[in-house]
Formats: sequence, C-alpha cells, structure tokens
Amino acid sequence: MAAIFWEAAILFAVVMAMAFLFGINYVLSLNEDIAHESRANASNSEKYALIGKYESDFSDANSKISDLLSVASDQLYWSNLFIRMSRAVPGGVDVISISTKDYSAVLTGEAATRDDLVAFKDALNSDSCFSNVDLPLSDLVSRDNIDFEINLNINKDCLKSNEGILDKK
Amino acid sequence: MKEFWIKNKLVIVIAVYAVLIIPGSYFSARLFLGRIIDTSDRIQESIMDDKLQESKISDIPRMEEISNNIGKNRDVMASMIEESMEIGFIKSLETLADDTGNEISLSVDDPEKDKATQKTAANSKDKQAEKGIKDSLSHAKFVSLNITLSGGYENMVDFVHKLENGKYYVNIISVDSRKNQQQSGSVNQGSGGIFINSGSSGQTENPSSEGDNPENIITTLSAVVYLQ
Repeated sequence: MAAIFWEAAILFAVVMAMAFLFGINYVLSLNEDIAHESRANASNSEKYALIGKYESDFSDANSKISDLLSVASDQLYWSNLFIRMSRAVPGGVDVISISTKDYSAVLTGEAATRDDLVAFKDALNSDSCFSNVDLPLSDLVSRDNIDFEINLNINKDCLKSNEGILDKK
Repeated sequence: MKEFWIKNKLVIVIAVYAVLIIPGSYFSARLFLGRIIDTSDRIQESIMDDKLQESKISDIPRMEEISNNIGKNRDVMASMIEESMEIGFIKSLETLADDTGNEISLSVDDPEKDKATQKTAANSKDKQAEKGIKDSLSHAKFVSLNITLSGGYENMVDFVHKLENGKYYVNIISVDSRKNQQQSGSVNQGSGGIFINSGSSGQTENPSSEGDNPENIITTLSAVVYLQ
C-alpha cells in the first residue's frame, strides 16, 4: 500500500513537472506570436519593405563599385608612355615600329649615326618608366644608317599611372 | 512460478514502474526543455531583429539620401557595357576615330578563346607573376577587340588617350604600331619615323607639329572591353 502511494506521488510529481515545462513553453510561444504580430504591423511593414529596397540598392551599388575598383586597378594608360617614348627619340633616329607584349616592348627603326642611336638608348635608360633596355652590339657595328632593334621592359607602375603628361578628361 | 510472483510481486511492480517512469520522464523533460530553448532562442533573435530594424527605421532618412546619391551617380557606375550595348559601343569607337582623325577597323576575337582566358584568369589567380596582362585581369567578363587605326601619330595618341579615359572601361593589352611603308615609301628614303617629334624632343603635345604625312602609321590595339 505504501509502495502504491509512493508510486502515485512520484507519478504526480512527474506530471506536475511536465505540466510546468509545458506551461513555460506555452507562455514563450505566446510571446513569440505577439512579437511576430507586432512586427507584421502595417505601418512597420511598409518601412521594412522600404529598408529592404534600400538595402538591395546598396548591395547592387556595392557590387558594381567593387567591380569597377577591380577594373580600375587593372587599367593601363599607354598614351602617356607613347609621349615618354617619343620624347626620348633624338634627332637622326626614326622609330619605324613599336610592338608590345605584356610589359615589354620592341622598337625597330633606323638611326642616322651610331651616336644618335646611343643617345636614344641612353635617353630610354634614363627614363624611369623603361628598364632592361637592350640594344644588341651588332646594331652598333655600323657607323651610320643603322637599322636597329631595341628590346625594353616597361615599368608596370608607369603603365598604370594616369598622372602627368596628357590632360585628363 | 506462481510462488515466485507472490514472493516478488512488489519488487517486479516497482521495477516495471521505474523502467517506465524514469525514461518517460527523462525524454518528456528533454522534449519540453528543447522546445523551450528553441522558442527562447527565436524570441531572442526576434528581439535582436526588432532592435536592428528599429535602428534601421531611424536610419531611413539617411538611407534615402544615400539612395538618391546613388541614383544621381548611376551613370558613373555604368562604366562597363552590357551585352545589348555592344553595337552602340562599336559606333562610339567609330565616332571617336573620326573625331581624332583616324581610320578604324575592328575585329572581335573568338569568344570561345576569350571564355577560356577568362576561365584561366578566374581559376589561377595565385600565379600572377607568371601570367600576362590579359590572364591577370581581375574582372573575368570581357570581350577582346582588335582595333586597327590608320592615321598620324598624334591622331593615334589622341585616340588612345580618349579611349583610356572614356566613359567605358577599355583596357589596351598590347600595341603594335608601325609606319605604313606602302604610303610613305621605303624606310631608307628618310621619310621619318612613327614619332612626329623625331629630332625635336618635347614637341609632341602640339598637334600643329605633325609631320608631312599624317596618314603614315598603322596601329593595331589589342584591347578588352569589360562587360557587366
């Protein structure tokens, strides 16, 4: 008899504990529903929609700006380099062709005298935008009317810089 | 058997009770506690969201102002052409060539080749040092264009300068410029190089200093036109 009493008491305690937990859960669910309802309030929902639209606009703009920044960082400005190159050409030197591949260039042409050609090479060497200016010794063997070919490297920073020489838009 | 039952009835009943009630209580309690924790988390999230939304609502005037500014500057951000704008862009290049006194012809590289280059660029960004200009472009969507110009040196530089600083981003990857010997005669006839200031250093900015034959350079620009 005592055992049945204790069993019933334990069962009752367990049921009460479950009921307590269920009650807490129920109250919390009610709170959650109320919070949802207050958010669904008509005037706020318009504002939320407006916020959503602005956020979408901002996200779109940020994405475009990010694209533009990456494109701008790759942009090369050859026109300034042509001006620099042409300034280095002394009298008596005719450049017949310029061909570039990545950050290197090949210039071919004709020099009236060896001194003119050396002056051209020196002028290119003294320009910080050019490096490794290579004029084969074979091109310096003749004294005048020299057909030459100069290989050089172009400074990446010079090519990416849009400052100086030509007017900006 | 009957005797065993009579002797151990109490123990058996308590054992069966314990076996049923302990796991039953444990799992029910876990279930309810789990639901309570979930609901509580959702409420906390909801409270945080509300606070965030409230701060955003108070920011609406500022957001509106920024949005208006974005709207005003939308043209500036449209610096990459859409695929539907390609024809218009080509026409703008022709107009630019006319304005700068060049004759122009255009050709487009094989799009499949471009896609392969773009794939390479997208897949192997870690090998920058080994790659050429085109392979290391950050923006993977572009069309390769070969622009052939015929005109004077000053005209060519003017075209390139305006192209580089134009509304749309066009990146010139390589340049091949050579004197048109068919027009100018033999190189050895001393008709001048491609630079107009040969022998007169520092005069390049002045268009009036063009050589005798302004139509003496053929330039091929290999360029990429970025797409949105």
